[in-house]
Parts: sequence; structure tokens; C-alpha cells
Amino acid sequence: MRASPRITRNVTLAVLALIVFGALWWQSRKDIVSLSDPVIWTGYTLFGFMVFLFLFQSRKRLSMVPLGRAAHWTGLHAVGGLLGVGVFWLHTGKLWPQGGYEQALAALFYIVSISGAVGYGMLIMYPKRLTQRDVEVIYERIPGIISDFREAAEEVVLACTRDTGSDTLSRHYLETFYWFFQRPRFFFSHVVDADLADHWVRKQSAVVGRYLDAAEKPYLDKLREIAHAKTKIDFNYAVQTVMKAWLFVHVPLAAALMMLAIWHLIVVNVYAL
Amino acid sequence: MSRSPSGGKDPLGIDPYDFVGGVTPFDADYERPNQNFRCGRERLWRKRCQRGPSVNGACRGTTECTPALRGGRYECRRRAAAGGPCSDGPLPDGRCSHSHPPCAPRRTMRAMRSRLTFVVSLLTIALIVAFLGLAPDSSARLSSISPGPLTGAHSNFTSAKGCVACHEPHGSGAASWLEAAFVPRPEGISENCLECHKFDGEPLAPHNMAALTIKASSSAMTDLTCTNCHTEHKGIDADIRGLSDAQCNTCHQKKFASFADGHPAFKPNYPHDQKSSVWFDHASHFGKHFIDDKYVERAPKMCSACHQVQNADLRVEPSSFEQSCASCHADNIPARELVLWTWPEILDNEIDQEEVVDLCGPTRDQFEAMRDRLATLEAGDLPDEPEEEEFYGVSLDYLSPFAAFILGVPSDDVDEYGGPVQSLALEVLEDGIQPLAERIDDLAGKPVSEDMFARLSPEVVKGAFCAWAANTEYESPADPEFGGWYADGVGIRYKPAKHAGVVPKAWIEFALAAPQLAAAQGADEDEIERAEIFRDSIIERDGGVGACTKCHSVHAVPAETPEMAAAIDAETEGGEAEEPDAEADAEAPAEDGLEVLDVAWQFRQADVRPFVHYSHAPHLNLLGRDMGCKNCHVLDYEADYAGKMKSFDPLDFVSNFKPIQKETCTECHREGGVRQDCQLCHDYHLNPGFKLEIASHEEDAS
Repeated sequence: MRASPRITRNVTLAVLALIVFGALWWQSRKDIVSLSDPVIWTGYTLFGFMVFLFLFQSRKRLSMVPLGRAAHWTGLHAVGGLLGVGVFWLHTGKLWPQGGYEQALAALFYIVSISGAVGYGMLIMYPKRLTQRDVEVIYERIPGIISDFREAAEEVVLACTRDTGSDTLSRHYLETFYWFFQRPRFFFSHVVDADLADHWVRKQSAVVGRYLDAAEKPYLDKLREIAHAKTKIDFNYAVQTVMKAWLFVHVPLAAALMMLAIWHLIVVNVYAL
Repeated sequence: MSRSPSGGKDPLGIDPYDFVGGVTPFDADYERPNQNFRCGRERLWRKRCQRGPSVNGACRGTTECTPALRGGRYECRRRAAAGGPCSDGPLPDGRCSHSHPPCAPRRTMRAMRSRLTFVVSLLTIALIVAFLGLAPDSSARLSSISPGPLTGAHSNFTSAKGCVACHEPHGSGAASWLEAAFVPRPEGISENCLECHKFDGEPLAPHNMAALTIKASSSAMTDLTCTNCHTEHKGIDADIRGLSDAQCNTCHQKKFASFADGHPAFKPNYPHDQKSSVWFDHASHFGKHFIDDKYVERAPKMCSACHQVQNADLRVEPSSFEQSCASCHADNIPARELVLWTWPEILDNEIDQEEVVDLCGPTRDQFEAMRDRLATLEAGDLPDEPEEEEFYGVSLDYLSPFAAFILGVPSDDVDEYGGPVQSLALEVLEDGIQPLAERIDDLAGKPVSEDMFARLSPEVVKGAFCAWAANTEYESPADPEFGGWYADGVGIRYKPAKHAGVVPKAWIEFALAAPQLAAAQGADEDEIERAEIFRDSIIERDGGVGACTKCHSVHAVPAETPEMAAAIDAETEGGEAEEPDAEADAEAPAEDGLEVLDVAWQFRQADVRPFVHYSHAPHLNLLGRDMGCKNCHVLDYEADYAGKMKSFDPLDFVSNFKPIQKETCTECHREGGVRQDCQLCHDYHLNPGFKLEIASHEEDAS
């Protein structure tokens, strides 16, 4: 059985990263025992890594330029970030520095690194889950689809009242499903891949089902079908929102980190060299 | 494909999944995620309009198209995705006939993220600038630069001068500051460190020893700076002095894993490879005297009875003479007399007796002779002229070594010394001890006679010399019961009253230096020999004050050249030594290898190992302060300790303790045991200290 190209790529990158880190660590140790301070070159190496990682953002803006596949860049970004953490520790020699400015720098570095790791984890986990669902939608279209579902559901309820002369389903709709169809619901349940939404739909359908006669039942079934379909859209919305929202932490703080790093580099050049 | 769960019974024919895939991807260009704005209706979870907002975020959904004027008629231009041209067509004035209320377009997530990124970046820059420019004080300003607090000793250094207390200053203004980031400055931090710190030797040489070189490929190792090992800004409690064993191994050619594993064995006589300052034969005392019934009651019962273990560090000083030795040896001290002068045998009297009578008054015999002459004259007779008697000197002794040395005459040639001795006697009669003191001070080049003649009564000197000048023995008016100077017969002597008297010390020091002093004044071989005879007579251990050197070690040390003295003086005064004059050096007599004898009046560590430190205290705490010493210091009863006492060579020495072996230490200092890193016992720097100005300031402050 052959490994998937993605696994092969990631393993290759990870091995390369380990080799690079091993070489950097070895050189750093050699410098320390040679009474030579590795802080300067490890600092510049770390800054180089940060610039490279920051370029990933530019790569996304230059999608029309053939700069390699986005998946490769993502892999390099993830492995480079991981390597950057190692180089950071080589550079500082400890987990937490002493100076106030450097602590701010370290705090940002850790937040950016952790948010990156979390984001990369989501990039691995959520797309797989999305493809396992029946429905895949473009994020920007979700409001329109929700609207379509809402209109369809109301059309079903109106038809039921009109065709059967009973308002049981419509009253139940106003008390329960109306809330459900207004916008995506059960956000956190979908994020953690829980089944709360489907359970809610089943429960609301079951509650009203025993008060409906045979003529009304098909309308309830259709309503439930639409509601179940909407839970899948809600899942798409929740997951894609999370996959986009983490960048609100990662990218701005990465930019702030770059600003602080540039200032740090200037200060080091002024005073320590 | 229908996904209806209703099993085909579909009252309306609605398939909800049609909604999902019913729109061609990106059929409305504004829904692309790289657009800045999206239709505001989506915020209300309603369908977007087909036109979407403008690039500036203005709603364009109030109409469904912008009719075009063609051939004098307005035509509907509604997009195909929105249903194509409408049947109503444009209004006569060219407006779209389908109008809708406007929405409030919203930014896309990407646009919001970019905006947030921009704001955060700007805020970060603003914070940096604010810390630098708007900080209320220098400490707040420094907090945006400093990589961490300084260690305790340095923590207050920046309070007055800021970073430039250690770092090289740069010009004022942002431009100069930035320029400093890219223009290398040759001066390093080390120069600032050395404004306060000092070492014996070259500060930036390996181990402060210029003669040492490092064989290394790294320039960082050959161009040593303080920051190679000491990096600051690691916190107030940081240890910035530590070196790892690996770092030591980098330079040292003999590399080893640890003290227990590979460290060279100690030298054969370690640590007793030099004379100790105080001679004390432990073997004879413990093996003979302390077990003698006469002394057993006074013998110490434990090491701490004589050694001050309570303050033990590297040095474990012996207790004072009074505490340790006096109980047995105090009575011997008064017997160790110093002979200042012995009137020698004189063959020819060259002293004018009338002058002696003028200076001293007549002796009893002279007085009686004068009285008889006067009585004869009163009786009207002429007294007989006194007969010329043959002269017989009152003393038959040789000239003392001191007198021979100071007068520059042989002590056993009466023809040679007779004249100078009698001349000196007349000088003493006129000026007291001053003529002798001046000769000593001139020879020593400094005023040493004051101590040598301390409390010497001028009456004793004059009385004795008057008697000798009159060729009679001096009769002491009283016995020197309580010690001190006294004259008796044909000699002036000093009787020590107690241990550590000033007079014996001064005489021994002068005597030890005498040969070198004579040589320095261009003395010939005979004169130098007389100086050595004088020296040996004074430090003779079995008689006189030389007994002091039975315990206080005398050893040879390199002579201090004038250049060395000048350099030491300049260093002491905080100035700089003058460069030696090469021409003068060429003319000066070679003094290399010249040694002087020094006596150790105070206890001092015999072995000088500048890169080794050891503290007895923790070991004694562990092993016992009374007898724990014996774990390492084992008596060697066979060693010829006393036999080496006469040698002045500090290295010609045999201890009466067995050498300490490395294995003694590795019993505890080993893998899995107590620490054994290099810095536990070794220092890198050669006698580190602070420059005088700093010490003075500290004293002023205190």
C-alpha cells in the first residue's frame, strides 16, 4: 500500500526539518563550548524563517503566479513554523526570556505559533469532515442557501395548511422551526462535530408528529428533510467560519510579531554588535 | 439525484439539495472572497442581489440593472443569472423599473482581516515609538530596549548613564541611532568592563596570561572578550560566571570527561611542594614531645587546638604563639640575646684620653690621679710626669660580625679594625648611637635603624663606650631582669622580653638583606663575605635572636628590581608605570636571578596556585572540625622535615605530611557523588579584583 502524496510530502518535509534543526542545534552547541555566542546567527536565522513564513501570506495573494502548489506552500509553512519554534529556543536558550520587550516578543511568538498549530490542525481535520458530509458549499453562498431553505420550509408549511385545512404544523413551525431557519444554528455543536442539530430536528419533528394525521405527515417529512439538509449547511458554515476565523488571530499577530522582530533586530545591531 | 428521505411521496416536488448546487460557482463576481464588500442582505441571511456592492462598498442592488440607451431606446441589461432582460423594461426616463430598498454592504472576512492586520501593525509601531519618545523616564524607555534585567551587582549601573554605561554610545537623534545599527564600532564592551574589573596579567588573554595562546579555528576564541563567557541581561539572580566543563575542554589540550574520569593525578608532593611559612615539626611533636610525661598535660588533644578551623577557607591559619606554643616555649625567648656590639681587642690606643675625659668625665683612676697631682701641687712640689705605660686592651675578643660589616673591616685583623673602631667610638661618644644608625640606614636605603635600636638608652650606649674608650670594662648598674637593651663588660646586648619583639625582627630583616645591600653598593667579595657572616650570625638558630627562624621560615625570593618597584608603586597609586628605558636597561647591571632572603613573620599560604581554589570549611563541616583533618592530612613520620630547615630554597622541602592523592577527593567527588565540575576547584581569571578607584569609592560610601 502506497502512502498518499500528502503524507509522503509531509513526512519528507518533517525529516528535512529535523535534519536542519539538528544541524542548527549542533552548530549552536559547538559555538557555546567554543566561547562563541550563537545568539546572533540563530537570531538572524530565526528572522529568516519568520520572513519566509510571512511570505506565505503573499503567496496567497499571488495565486495567479506559478509559485508552486498551495498545498506545498502550506506544508512548508507548517514545517517551517515548527522549525521556527526550535530555532527560537536555540536563540533564546530558554522558554521564557527576561526583558519586558523580549517577553512581549516571546508571547507574540508563542501565540502565533500556537494559533498556527491549531489552524494547521483544523486544516487537516475539518476538510476531511466536510468531504464526509453530503454537501459542500462555497462559504459566501451560505446566506442565500439558508434563505432558500427558509422559503422552501415556509412553502411546505403553507401548503400543508392550505391542502389539509389543519394549522397544527404551521403553529408548530412558528414555535420551533421558524427560529431554526432564520440563520445557521448550533454553531459550537457543529464545530465539535456533535449531533445536537439533527437531534433537535428529530425531536421537534417527533413532538408534532403524533398530532398530525396521515394527510399532514408527508408535509412534516418534507419539512424535516429540509431541516436536515439545513443542518449540513449549518455544519459547513460553522466549520468554514472557524477555519477562516483563526486567521484573525494568526495573521495580525504575525504582522505585529514581525514589527517587534524588526525593532529587536535593529536594537541588537545597535547595542550588541 | 434526489436525496429526499420521503420515499418519493413529495407533496411539492421540492428537493432541498437543489438549492445547494443550483448556482454555478462564481456566477456572481462579487461573491469571490478577494472582494472587499459583500451584499448587506446576506447579513440578514437573505438572498444577495445579483449586482452586489461597488468596490467602495456602496449598494448597487436598488435596481436590477442599468438600462442602456441604444437606437434612442432604453434596453434592459439585467444579467442572465438574474433572469435576463425583464418583461417590464426600463422606465421612460431610463431608470430600471424594478427598484428595491438599499442594503448596507458588509466587508468580506478577508478585507476585515487585512484591515485588522494593518491596524495591529500600526498599533505595534505606535507602541514602540511611544515607549521611546513618550516614556516618562529613562527606565520606562529602557524597558523597550533592554533584553532583561542586569545581575544584582550590575543592576544599578544604568541608573545614571543608561545603556552607554556598558555599551558603546552613539550619536543623538534617530538617524544616528539607526546609523549605529549598521556601522560597526571597533570598541567593545570589554573596555568598559575593564574600567572597574582588574586582573593580575593581561585582561583579555587566556587565563589573563599573555604567554598562553589558543589553538583554535574560531576567531571568537582567539579574540577573547568578556562577553565570550559573561553575558548579561539574564535576570538579577543569573549566574553569569559559570563555565561548563565542555567549554574548558574546548581550549585545554588534555581533555577529559570529569574530575573522576580523566583528570590528571595530583603532583607527587601535592599540596606540600613549597616551604611553609611556619616551621612546625608535627612528627617530632606528636611522636616525641607530646607523649613525653613532662609535656603531655600541655599537649593539644585535637587539630583545632592549634589551627583556626572556625574561619577555615583555603587558609587554615595556626593559632597565635601565645595560644599554641607559649606554654612550652615562652621561657626560651629571653635567653635568645642579640649582641649589638662587642668591644674588641685593641693593640694601639689611638683615642685621645683628654678628649674622652672631656666627653665622658674622668674615670675613678683618672680622678684619683688628678687629685694626687693637685695635692702635690698644693704642697709646693711638682708632680712627677706619669710614666708611659704599655697599652693592654681591656678586651681580647674579635670584632663582632656586625661591627666588621658596618665598618667594612675584617673582624680578626686587629691592625685593620683598630683605627676604625676607635674612630667610631669617638663618634658615638659625641653623637650617641646616631653614627651607627646613619650607616645602617644609608646601607638599607630606608630608615630601618629606628626599629633596630628601639628603646636603646643613649645613657647605656655612652656609658659603655666611655668605659671602653677609657680601656675599662663597663659595669652595668642593674641586671636586665625585664628584658631590653643593656651593656655589660665589653658588650651591648638586647634581651628579648616576649615573642614578636620589634628589635629582633628588624635585626633579622636587616641581616637577611645585608649581602644584597652590600652588593648593590658595589662591595667587593670580602665585604660581601663579611655581610654574609653578619647575616649568618644573626639568623643562627641555636643562639641569639636567630632562634626566631627556627619557626619563622627563611626562604629565597627573587629580588625586586627598580623597574618592578616602580611598576608596583604606580599600580598602587592608580597610575601607570613608566615604560622602562631601554638604554638605561642596557647599561644597568644584570640582576636576573638575584635573590634575597625573606622571613615569614606571618602565616601565609605556601603553595600559590592562582587558578585553584579550595575551601576547608565545607569539608570540615562534613568530616568534623576537630579531627576531620586527618582524613586528608596524614603524618609521615619518616620524612626528613627538619633536615630541610637550613635550606633557603622554598622548593627544597619535604613535608611531614604525606601527599594528598586525587583518589582522596574522588571518594566523594565522582559520578553520582558530590559536584566535580571544573569550576568547583579552578578559576579562570588570575586574581580578579576591582580597580582602586572603585574600592576607594566603596570605602567613601561606607
